[in-house]
Amino acid sequence: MVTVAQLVQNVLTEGNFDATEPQALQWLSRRHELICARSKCFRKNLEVGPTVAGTRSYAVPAEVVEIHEVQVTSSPETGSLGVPYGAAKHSDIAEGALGYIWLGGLYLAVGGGIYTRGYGATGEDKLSLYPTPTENGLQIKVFAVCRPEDLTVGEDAGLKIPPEFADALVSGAIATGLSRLEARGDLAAEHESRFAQACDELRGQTAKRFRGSGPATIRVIGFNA
Amino acid sequence: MAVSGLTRLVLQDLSGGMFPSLAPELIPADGAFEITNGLLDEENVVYRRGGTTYLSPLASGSVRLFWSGYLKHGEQQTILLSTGGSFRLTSTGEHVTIGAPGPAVLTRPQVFQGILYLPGGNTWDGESAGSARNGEHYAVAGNRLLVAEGSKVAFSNVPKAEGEALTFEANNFHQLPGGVRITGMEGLRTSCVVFTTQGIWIIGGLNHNLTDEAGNVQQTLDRYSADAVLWGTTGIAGWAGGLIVPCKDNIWLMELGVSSEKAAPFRSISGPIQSTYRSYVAQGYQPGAAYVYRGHYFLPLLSGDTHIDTLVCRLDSPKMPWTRLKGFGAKVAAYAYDGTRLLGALTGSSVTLKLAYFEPNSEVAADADGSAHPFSVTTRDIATGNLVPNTVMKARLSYRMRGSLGAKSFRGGAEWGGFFWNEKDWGEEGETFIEEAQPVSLSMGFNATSFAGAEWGEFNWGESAWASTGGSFTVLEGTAPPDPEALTPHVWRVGRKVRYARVNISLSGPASDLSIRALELFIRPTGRTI
Repeated sequence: MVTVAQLVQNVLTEGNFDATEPQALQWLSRRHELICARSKCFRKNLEVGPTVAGTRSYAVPAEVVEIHEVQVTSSPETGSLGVPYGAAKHSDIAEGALGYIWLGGLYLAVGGGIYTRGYGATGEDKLSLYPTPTENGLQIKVFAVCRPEDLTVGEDAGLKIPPEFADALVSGAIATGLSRLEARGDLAAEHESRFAQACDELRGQTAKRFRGSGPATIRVIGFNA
Repeated sequence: MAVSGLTRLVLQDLSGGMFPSLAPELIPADGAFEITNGLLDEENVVYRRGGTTYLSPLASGSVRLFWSGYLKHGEQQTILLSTGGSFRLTSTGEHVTIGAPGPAVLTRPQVFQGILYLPGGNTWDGESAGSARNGEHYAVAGNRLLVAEGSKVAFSNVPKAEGEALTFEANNFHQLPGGVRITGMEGLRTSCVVFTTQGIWIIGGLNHNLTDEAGNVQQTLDRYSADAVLWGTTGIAGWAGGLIVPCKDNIWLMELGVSSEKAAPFRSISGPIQSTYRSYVAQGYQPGAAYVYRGHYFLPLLSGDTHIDTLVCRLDSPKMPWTRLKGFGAKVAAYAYDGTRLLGALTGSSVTLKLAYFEPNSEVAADADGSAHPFSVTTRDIATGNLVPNTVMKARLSYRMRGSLGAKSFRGGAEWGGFFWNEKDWGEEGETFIEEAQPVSLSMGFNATSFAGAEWGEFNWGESAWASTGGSFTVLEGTAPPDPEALTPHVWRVGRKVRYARVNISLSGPASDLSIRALELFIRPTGRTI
């Protein structure tokens, strides 16, 4: 099993850097965040809210990179599942207020709506819902790609990538060291390339994990059979 | 050939010896900052000096004279005069008490016609003590005995027959002008070099009478130097027709001309160790009885009966490199050569040793007291490139090293011929006698700074000792094992980003054969220019 301490030693030893362990750890943390962001491999189910009647926008945790799904429970008593909200453009909120948005389906029966990401007056990350919730206490569940916490020696659970990509993480940190500490972009290029390849590979692996086979195709003779 | 992206710096030549007095980044490419217990062989490879064995472990006070040679009576003999008595040493180190008068201080004797002359007018002819013209210093030149008395040098007649008594005619003297006092004398071919409180004089033409029949002066009195003042007469040694003279400012090589007796210009040989040497002078130390052996000048430095240091200069190398000796076997106050081996009398105890400095082998991997004399080489500051800090990734050392055979133990069954009677009880059935090697290894320290002690340019002379090896070294992980064939260089991981790199190589354990071949540093140059 790969540990954070091992990764730090690998960076210092294999990169032959005159750097401290905290510095190497910082390089690893940044690269860890980068590989997670590029590959979208670290995803979480988060709770945002609960709803407050008349409040449209809710703070999004700083760790969220990309929201893939939003569900809002239709009543405070509902269990873990909520009603999915559709992803919309930022301008849809304002257009919805003017009645330009039509919500169909089971909306009238079970609720639902759309969501967008926005920013508050001081730039804070917000999740906006339309229609504006009229009940208090409804759970807003968000399924999102997140960025991991900084790595800490001894807390190996903080590593959010599969162990087979640990070497690439070390390569990325070495590339950072070579570029920034030694100004040797030429030597860093090889390590940077390895890191980028690993990001692509992990993104592909992640995509396969979350991609279903899709709807079943019905073959119609003369049409698609 | 450098690996792509790496620069390789090689340090192979240490023929310049050590330069403890120079700023480390200014030490020449063929020099080191410090070489301890290392000597340079004919190929200018640094090797660890051999150890020592006892000639006699008997302590007999502080040594005052240690000499070996032929006297009128008793043929070749080794004389030890100490505060504890006067002895002739047999070849096995046995002390035979003799009646020679002991000098009050450490002394270099002069021998003329088989008689040992000691300061104060005492003599020893190998059999009995005697007296001679009283003088503070004696010298032999031009087949005469010269005696220094204050500022006057009297010289004897030239003996016409063996054993003829020396006479000093009333007018046979030279009065040195200038209000000086004589501090030492030494014969140099047919001249006598006279050291005074105000420079050096040479009395030439001693193979002639003072004047000829017509009254023309045939001997000369020249002032050779007005400012070179002798540090200690015991530090004078002869070499290759000249004299090695430790003066208070430098150590000089004095020679006379090849085709004439004209004195040649002095040549300073203490340049590399100048600050160290001058600091010893400033601290009031004294030179021990220096000696030249196998083209090496051994200069002990003493503080009373305490040994401070031993500096060694290889005179037969054009660069005259210096190294230093440490350890039990280096605490010699006086040396002697008995025709077959170099001997030393230790400071403060007069314990006598056989010095195998130039013949390191498994028998003398340690000194006589069993201690493994340390060996270390501290390199100069090596610029890593472009005067900017670059990362030193690895260091690789080529060396030859053999361990030493140490304790004997019994294992397995006793081998026929391998058991030494009376040393151990006959082993139990199934035991074998085996000699085991003592562990030896080389470690490497790395440093990027200059001195931990005195800073260059901020040291006030005479106030304290110049910093020793300078700076603390970070010991790198791993040690180099013995490599008798010098086929497997050892690599240490360094991983330090420095402008100047300095390396210390030190030995742990008693190696019987250790020489340093080459040091390589593998450097990853930075892309920065400042």
